[in-house]
Amino acid sequence: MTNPTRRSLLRASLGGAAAGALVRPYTSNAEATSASAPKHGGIINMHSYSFPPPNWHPHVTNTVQVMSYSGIYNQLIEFNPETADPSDLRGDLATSWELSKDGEVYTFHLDPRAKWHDGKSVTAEDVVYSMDSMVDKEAKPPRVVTLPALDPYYEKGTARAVDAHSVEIPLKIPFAPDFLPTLALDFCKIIAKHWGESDIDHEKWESVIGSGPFKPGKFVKDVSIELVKNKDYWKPDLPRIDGMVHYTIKDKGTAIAAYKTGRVLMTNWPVTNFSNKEARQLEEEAKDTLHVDYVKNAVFFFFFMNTSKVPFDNPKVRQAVNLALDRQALFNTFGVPGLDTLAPPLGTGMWFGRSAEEIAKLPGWRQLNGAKHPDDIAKAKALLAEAGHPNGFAAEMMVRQVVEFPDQAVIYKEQLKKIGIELTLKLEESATGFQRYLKGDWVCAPQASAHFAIQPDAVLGRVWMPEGSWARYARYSPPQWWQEAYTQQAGEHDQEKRLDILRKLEDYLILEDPGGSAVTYWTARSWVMNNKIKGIHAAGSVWGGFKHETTWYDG
Amino acid sequence: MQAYIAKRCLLFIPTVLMATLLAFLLLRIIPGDPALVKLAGETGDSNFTQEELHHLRVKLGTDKPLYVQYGKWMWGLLRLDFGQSMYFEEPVAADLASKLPITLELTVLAMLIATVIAVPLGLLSAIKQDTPADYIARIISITGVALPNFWVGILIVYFLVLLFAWMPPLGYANLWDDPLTNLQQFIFPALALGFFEMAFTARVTRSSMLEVYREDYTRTARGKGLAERVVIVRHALKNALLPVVTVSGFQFGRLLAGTVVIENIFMMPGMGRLLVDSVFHRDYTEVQAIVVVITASVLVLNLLLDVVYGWLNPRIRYS
Repeated sequence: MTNPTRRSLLRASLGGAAAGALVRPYTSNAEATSASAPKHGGIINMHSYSFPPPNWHPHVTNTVQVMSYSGIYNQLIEFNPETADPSDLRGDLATSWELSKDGEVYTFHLDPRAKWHDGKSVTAEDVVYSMDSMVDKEAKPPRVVTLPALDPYYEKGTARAVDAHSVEIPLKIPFAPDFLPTLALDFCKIIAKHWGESDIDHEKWESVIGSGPFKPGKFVKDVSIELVKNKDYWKPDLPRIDGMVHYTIKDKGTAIAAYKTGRVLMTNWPVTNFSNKEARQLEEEAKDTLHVDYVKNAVFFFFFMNTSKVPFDNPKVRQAVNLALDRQALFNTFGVPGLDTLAPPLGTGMWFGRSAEEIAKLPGWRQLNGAKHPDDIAKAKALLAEAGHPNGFAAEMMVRQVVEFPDQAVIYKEQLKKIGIELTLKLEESATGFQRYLKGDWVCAPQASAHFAIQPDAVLGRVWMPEGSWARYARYSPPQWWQEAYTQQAGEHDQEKRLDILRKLEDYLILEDPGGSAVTYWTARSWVMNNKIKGIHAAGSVWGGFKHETTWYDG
Repeated sequence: MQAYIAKRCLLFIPTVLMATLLAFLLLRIIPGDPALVKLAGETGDSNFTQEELHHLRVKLGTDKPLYVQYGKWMWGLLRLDFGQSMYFEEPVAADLASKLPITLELTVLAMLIATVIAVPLGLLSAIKQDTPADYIARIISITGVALPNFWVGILIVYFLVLLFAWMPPLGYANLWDDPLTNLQQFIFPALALGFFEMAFTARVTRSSMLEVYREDYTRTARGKGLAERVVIVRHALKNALLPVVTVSGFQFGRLLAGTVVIENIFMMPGMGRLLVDSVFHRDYTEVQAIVVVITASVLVLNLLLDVVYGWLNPRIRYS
């Protein structure tokens, strides 16, 4: 069976066949992508880098730990884990879906066989309840960090059950091409209305009810989370494995030993304590045992500025920094060629990004004779002078002590010295750093953003639109025309027209004002897997592909 | 002796009190806030407001003045109530009950390994002084004293992987349910943990044995025509072991502290690992409870050792 890709589906849906049903069920295509037929059985031990969550409600947990219990739940749609095309989406609970001609309403048709672990049927009412739960801004505890990605598309209280197995979801932005890849994220779990509304303690592992291929097994706090096969799963012949155990391994050396000895067979998501360089080295050292699947363009790094604080409240100062940063030097130090890319806010290598040749000519990114282009430095100094800082200024750079930030901070400090900016580094523990972000009690910082979906809405929205988390921390609000253009592109289904708008948005960030975030380079995230793990590929986001119903062990 | 024990027990009170005060204050001095960690989550990038942060602080009680927080905690301790974990909001006592046996098993096994290897090694080193056997034993013991146990742990993992492509099974198997897996899980961490203690004890045994070996009563025993084995075991060793018993008390405390690192390297779900995770979570109640338990364990064990010491050596009188 040849499965259509998400893009071809999208084109078809937007090209006039909007009223027609787009059948994209969950049928397995493992046979087409694997040399051998899938096997059943086996327990897969996984390496988890994160602590377990303090509660098990997938919409309101305070961690990104859904990967260790994702298999308990289903979504409406999901990234197809069985194809190497990261943009390929397929139905999970939904057997098909269609977009109305005016692009305002999606209708999803549920598989009538779908049932909860307690035997009750999954209904359209459950989907309505879940959609409202996902965008509930008043949720207590607060919603999981990734769910605000749905806010631009769906308004609470507007979904409607058409019948027991059909649900209409109106879109806030008609057509919204990025809605489906956002809905496919592993956080957009459909939960049972009767479970969510009941008095059951949602923090109790044993009380968790889903409709997914696995059920809660044994939970040992700070040690392991076990999922066991749902033998009564409504999808025939799935899941393939008997269960999985997610072991929390924080120590890098121990994790490497566990991979090499086969004690763990894969990471449970593509963000671990390995840098890309380390993951690649591990792959080279143990290539007979394991391989690394990469989620490309998953994250970008940026020089973060608080636009409510002097001197970064002045766009000229922000642009001076944007021009003065020597991105090539940063990339040479931290980047892995082939995995990471030197690219502006919309990246490169994707339909909405520029080519490497174009990027090499951009102010702030260009070089001359292998060094930072002198015109950019000159222009940066001129901008600082215009902003009233002809001799530069001194500022504190807050540095959260995670990932590469402390090392990057040292390089930023050296680079900005060239235009007279003297940075004093102030190291902070991560949570304390975020508290300072929240309070606005900071001036500048090294930062990164992991894109929810690797799509323009998510990339630009989270960092520059006023409701985006990074924009909120930076107290940044782009000009009105920029916000309107952003909304316009989010609903533009003609890709060429959309690209034109995106170019204008990006040009502004490159040539006039980077806002609170001067992007430096993009990076991939690595998903380490034993060679015997089959039936799974990295999804089109670091936040997808955790359910493992098609994953199998070729042992 | 009874008066001595009673006096020592009374001395526990200021010692434990000081430990609670130190643990309480040190946690408040280091940067961080339990409410913030809980709300912000692991990425720190969660969606919450200052108001929610304040409400959680009120709920956890961290908004109160320090003396109120300390008083409340101490009042709970007096009633043997360790309180609720600030991060997981579960009883701390339940955590301790499940983690303490693991740490104790590791510690006891490490001590056992250390003693079983150290005493013969020290003995051999003393008896065969300045021979190749002595040199080898001294190299081993000096290496053990010089290497920190986390480094030994890392080396053990490294060589297990390099030489045997093997590492201990993940998770935790109960000793009574699955003794073989339990042994596989505990033996190498115990070796790493006990290596320093083994080396140190071997050094103490050697020097003590050398001293006793030259005492008059040893010479007398030998002069009476006793076999050398009897002289060593019955006369010399028994007396040489007294200082070894003394250092064992200190060692137990060191071993307990050492589990913090070793349990993390070998992913053992004991109290040491819980302590580290709780520090990451800024789970004040959990950390404080662990410190109290460790302090109390060391105090009780030291007292027991003193009593045993008195029993072993009739010349010692506690009065």
